[in-house]
Parts: sequence; structure tokens; C-alpha cells
Amino acid sequence: MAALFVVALVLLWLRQRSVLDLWLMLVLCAYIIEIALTAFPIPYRFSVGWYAGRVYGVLSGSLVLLILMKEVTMLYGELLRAVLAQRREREVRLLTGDAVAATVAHEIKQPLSAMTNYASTGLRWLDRATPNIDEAKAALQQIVNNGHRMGAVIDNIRTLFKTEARTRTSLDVNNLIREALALVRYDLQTHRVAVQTDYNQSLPPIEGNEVQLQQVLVNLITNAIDSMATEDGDRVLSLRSKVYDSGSLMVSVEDVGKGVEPSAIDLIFKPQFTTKVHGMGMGLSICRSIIEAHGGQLWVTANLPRGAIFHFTLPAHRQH
Amino acid sequence: MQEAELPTETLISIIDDDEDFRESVAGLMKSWGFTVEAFPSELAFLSSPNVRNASCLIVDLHYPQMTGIELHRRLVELGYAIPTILISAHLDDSVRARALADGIICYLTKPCDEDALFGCVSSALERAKPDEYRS
Repeated sequence: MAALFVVALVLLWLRQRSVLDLWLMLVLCAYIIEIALTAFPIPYRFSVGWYAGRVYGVLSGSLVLLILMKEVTMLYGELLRAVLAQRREREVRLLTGDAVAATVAHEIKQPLSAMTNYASTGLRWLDRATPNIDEAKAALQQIVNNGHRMGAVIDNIRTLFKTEARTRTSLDVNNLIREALALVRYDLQTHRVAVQTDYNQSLPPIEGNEVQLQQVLVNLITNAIDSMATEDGDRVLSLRSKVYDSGSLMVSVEDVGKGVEPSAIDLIFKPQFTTKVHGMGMGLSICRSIIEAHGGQLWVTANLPRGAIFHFTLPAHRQH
Repeated sequence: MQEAELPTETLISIIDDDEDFRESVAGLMKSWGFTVEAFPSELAFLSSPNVRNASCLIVDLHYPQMTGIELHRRLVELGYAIPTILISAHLDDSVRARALADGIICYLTKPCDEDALFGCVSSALERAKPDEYRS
């Protein structure tokens, strides 16, 4: 019997493939020792050495069990995390698709409505006792122009969808913030918002979809601008980046505007919440989905004496 | 369809950030015989000298910020009860109900039916000058 175990031990030693193999080897050692111990002649049983052997057997067995449990639990955890992340990504893609559809519908309705107006206009000009041919011609020309405009919008639909939700690259968050600020520069000027930035120079790079994260930043910034638009006094937007913990970084978007009601702190991230959603109509719920799909969190705290601070974390890019 | 029988000193102001649509409504109003002024934004309208002279306002709702409704509220606060017609590419019954409750005369969706628009403008202008034109 012991010979079998020794053979197994040798085989495992030669063909180590995983951590489990090592631990199985340990257990086999314990069994072998156990068998050797039971073969002890009577006087030597219950001696210290014998007990040591038994204790070693129990301990190694328990250790293997614990290791197995831990490995399995960790695997389940990873699996769950992967499934949730995948679900969030799908959600984001659907929501992005919906936002794109809304934009397309809006962009098409404008020239289409203009065309019907011009057509009615042309009819009116011609329907008089003395028809105004020039005005009617002008109206018809505008119909042609708007038709071309609609064509261009339809051509661009696929480009709109090409916000490749899957491509992720290594990004510098400070650069993302600078670019987002550049995108909304005109808005900031129009609303006379002063910007303060506090970049941490030793931020780790993150892995993410540049367009989506850009959208999140722009959305948070424009929300901040909107919340300050109706307030008197200085309008200051503060953007901070810092290391959050050993594996992630944090960005804070701070304003001195209307702030968020304590009762609405969770409500504002729900998809149905529609008040004061700026620009492409992305909404905080999409922002949260994007951040969570990247492995981070998005939340809001109150800024004292007034205003709100939106924070989001992102995991640092682990080099494989 | 009858010709416009309403006087031409009425001023219709149009506010929409989409240039093509804005100009098309202006052209349509002109073909009806109205005097028209078109603005790209609420701000532009409010800073124009003719704010008090406008007899009727045609404003884009501008979903989701709903700046069209806000403009109407602001005007009411300032004391200018200019009859307002809202046009929007967006269909939403709750928004429409809110707008009508706020005192907005009409809520039309793009593309708008010419007859509906004409009806709205007529009733808006009747409201603007109650003593002379109500029968």
C-alpha cells in the first residue's frame, strides 16, 4: 500500500502542474508517514515521534482542504465579477445605442421639418392671385438643401455607432481631464466658470475606452456648469486627480452650484431620472454604468458650504 | 385655406437653435403675411430690443433641458405674457401636459402640420390683442 503512495508521490513530483499537485504531494507524504507509523512496533506507538507524525497528517490534510476552499471561492468571485462586468458592458452598449438613436431621430427631424415648412411656404407663394415665383423657387431650393443635409446625417449614422465600446487602451487620466476641459471650453467661457485643477503627477495609467471615459468627464463637467448657472457669486469648477489606494485612482469633479438633495443622492443615478441632463443626454446612470464596466465606482457627496462633488475611481492598469 | 386676415404689425418671434428649421418657419410665416424675427437662442431673444413687441412666440422646447418652457416662465415673471407656442422633435405627453398647465398655448411636434400651426398662431394672436380682435 505504501509503495503505491510512494509511486504516486514520485509521479506528482515529476509532473507538477498546479498548486493542487504540491498540496496533494504534501498529503501523500502525510499518508506515507501515517502508514509508516502504523507499522511501528507496539512499544513505539504513542511516542512523541508517533504523535508528531499523526499531527502532521491532520494538519496537512486540513491545510489542503482550506487551500481548496479558498481557491474555489476565489474562482467563484472572479466568475461573478466577470459576469457582472459583462452585463454592465452590454447595458452601456444598449444605452449608448439608445442615446445614438435619439440623436439620430432628432438630427433627422430638423431638416425634415424644415422641408415640409418650405414646401408649404412654396405652395402659399404660388397660391396667390399673383404667384410669387421667386419666393417659391427659394423655398424649393431650401428643400433641396435640407434633403442633402438629411442624406449626410444618414451617412454619419454608422460613424456614430463606431464608438467602439470594446477597444480599451492605456490612458493617462490627467490627459483625459485636460481634453474634456478643452471640449467644454466654450461652455465654460459662456457661463463664466473658473476652473481649478489639481493633478497628481504620479498617477498610474489606466486601461479603458477613451471615448466613453471622455463622455463621463464631459457629462460631469457640464452637469457642474448647469448647476452653477443659476447661482450668483463666483462659479468655480474644481477637478482633482489622486491616488485612491494601492490599485486605483480617483477623480473628483467639484462645483459650488445647487448641490444634490440628500434624499436624491441615489435617485440621480437611476435611468428614469431626467431633470437637467445636458448635451448628448447621457445621464448619470450611463456614467455610472461606464465607470462600473471599467471596474470603478461613481458617487456624489455634498460640497460645503454648497454644491456637489462627484467622485469616481478607476483601477490602475495592471501590467501582465 | 384662407389668407391671413390678421394685421401685419403683429411681430412673431421664432427661437430655435437649428438654423434650417428656424429659417423655414420664418419663411412660412412671411408667406402668410406676418412680420417675423428669428433668434438662435433664448438669450439672443431676451437681449433684443423687440422683446416687448412680440405678439407671439414660437419656441423650440429643446429637450431635455426644456429651455423653451423656462423661457416662458421667465417672461411671465418679467411681466411679458407673450402667447407662446412650443415646437419640439420630442414626443412626451407629460411634458406636453406640464407645458399646457404652465400657460403655453400649443405644443406641436416636428414636423408640424401647417394647419395646426396656423390655428395655433391665430389663437395666439387673438389672445395678444383681446379687445380689438375677439368677436
